[in-house]
Amino acid sequence: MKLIKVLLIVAVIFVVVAIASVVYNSSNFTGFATTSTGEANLTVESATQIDFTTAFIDWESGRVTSGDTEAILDTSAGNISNGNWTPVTEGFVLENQGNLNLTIELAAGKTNLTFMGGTDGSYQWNVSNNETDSCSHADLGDFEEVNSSKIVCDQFSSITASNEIRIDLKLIIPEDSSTGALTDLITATATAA
Amino acid sequence: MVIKNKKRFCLILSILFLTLIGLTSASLGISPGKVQVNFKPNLEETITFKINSDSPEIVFEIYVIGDLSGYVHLNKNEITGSGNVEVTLKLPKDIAVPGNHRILIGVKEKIDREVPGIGTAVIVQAPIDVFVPYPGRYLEIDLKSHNVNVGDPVNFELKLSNKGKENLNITPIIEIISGEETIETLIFQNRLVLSAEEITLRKSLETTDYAAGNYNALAIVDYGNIAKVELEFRIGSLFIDLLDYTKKVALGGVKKFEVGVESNWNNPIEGAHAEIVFLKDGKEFFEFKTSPSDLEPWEKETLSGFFETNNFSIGKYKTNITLIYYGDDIGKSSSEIGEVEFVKGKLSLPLMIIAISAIVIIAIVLIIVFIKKYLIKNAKRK
Repeated sequence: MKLIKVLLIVAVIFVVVAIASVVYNSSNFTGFATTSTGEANLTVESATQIDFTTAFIDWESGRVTSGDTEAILDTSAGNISNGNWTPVTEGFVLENQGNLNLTIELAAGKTNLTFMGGTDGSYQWNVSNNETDSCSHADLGDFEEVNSSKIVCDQFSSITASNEIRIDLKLIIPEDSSTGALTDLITATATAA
Repeated sequence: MVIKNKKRFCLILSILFLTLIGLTSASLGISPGKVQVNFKPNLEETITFKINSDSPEIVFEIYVIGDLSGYVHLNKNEITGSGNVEVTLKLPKDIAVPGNHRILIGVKEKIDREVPGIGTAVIVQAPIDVFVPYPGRYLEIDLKSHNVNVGDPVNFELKLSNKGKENLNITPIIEIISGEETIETLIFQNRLVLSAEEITLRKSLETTDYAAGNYNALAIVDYGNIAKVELEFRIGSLFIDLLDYTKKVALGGVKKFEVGVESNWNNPIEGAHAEIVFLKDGKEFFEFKTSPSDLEPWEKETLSGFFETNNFSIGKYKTNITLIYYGDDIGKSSSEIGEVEFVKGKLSLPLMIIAISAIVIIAIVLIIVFIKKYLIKNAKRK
């Protein structure tokens, strides 16, 4: 009986070893090669994706210098004239993070009058390339009064080294402007070109 | 004390508060970025758009605009963070106006406009372009190719877009033209292009027996009307053209000599330089080299070198200009005889500055002497 049990155990061990051996060697089967064809399929999705990587400008608080009629706050020049706000040296930066060239439309929620009020104020933006060849458009690099809807870039590139535009702001704040916290929203709309 | 506090209050009121940090936008995306649909009567199709944002807490509004927006149904109108939106198109039996109709699927942040400051927001829009075929036959074609060297094949890609309502039975051809003469015709197989179908056909041109130069390829497709498109391509050889060189040199000191060249090869050329030999009475009189320059395929470049002109005299000298260059480890050269005229040199800028300075100093000295004499005379009179 004992002998049978021993033989049974040995047999089980043999079977386990044999199965393990087959599994282990299964990747090394030899034999006649057969011809087969493989097909690789993949689809690259198109995507529109944008981000304001620099999304706020903080001049903090200040006022027009006494005796001056207006102050100028300019992110492209990075300075303040006739006022005591804190200078800001960087505009908004918009990045094309997708894989399509895009049309970019900018919209400001307010005009200079509804934004800051007063007499002869000005609320301007200036779109330029933050990375070379990101966008080619006639008005690039020029300050102009903000608009409720304007296409500022027809072909905003998705190439990694050329996919950033910068939006600088210039405020000309008259001495009789509104006081308190000023609010507005600049919206960038991206559509596949 | 009350007056002082009042003044302080007025000052605080007069401060214009410009903290522009109220709102910051999120990265926002939509995929697919655009979709093309060919119109079919009563077409029903569902497209899944993935909305991708890096801000899981932001609520985005989803909207549809465009002249066919009434035929679009969204399974949801807003989404928080990222997720999918099912857009179902149920097109009508007929659309009267042929051409492209754009539907925009837009995603925008829901902004609380009461938050103080200037903020930024982003909106992304994915167009669904529904193309409605033109009545009858309408075919658009486009041809692409590339430059090669002699012996390399030119691969043509002919894109055919049937934008009419009728199917088209066509046999496109591409004529290879040199100057005014058609020297070879590539013929594609006869095929049927269905309405709204877009196909790209490929054909190669063997150039072993072609001479280097510029050629035109004219694709012609007869579909009842004739569609044509033509483009130029180049077959190159390892050769650099001499375009121009400095033809007049002012005598005096070291002068610059320029040689304009153009590569005729479809690969980069390395170490292109010119050896310039001046001849006098038929014999070599003086020689120098320009700096070497690498040329991109078909690039035009100016090679520059400097040489001493003191040994030359006014007059014309015959010149042998040899261009030396390397492509794929093969060295090559070509020579051309020219003529360079040496003319009387103008005063150089440093010499002019010295001369003018000397004149000014002399003038000042003369004025001082004159004034001194005048003052002494006047003093004596007094």
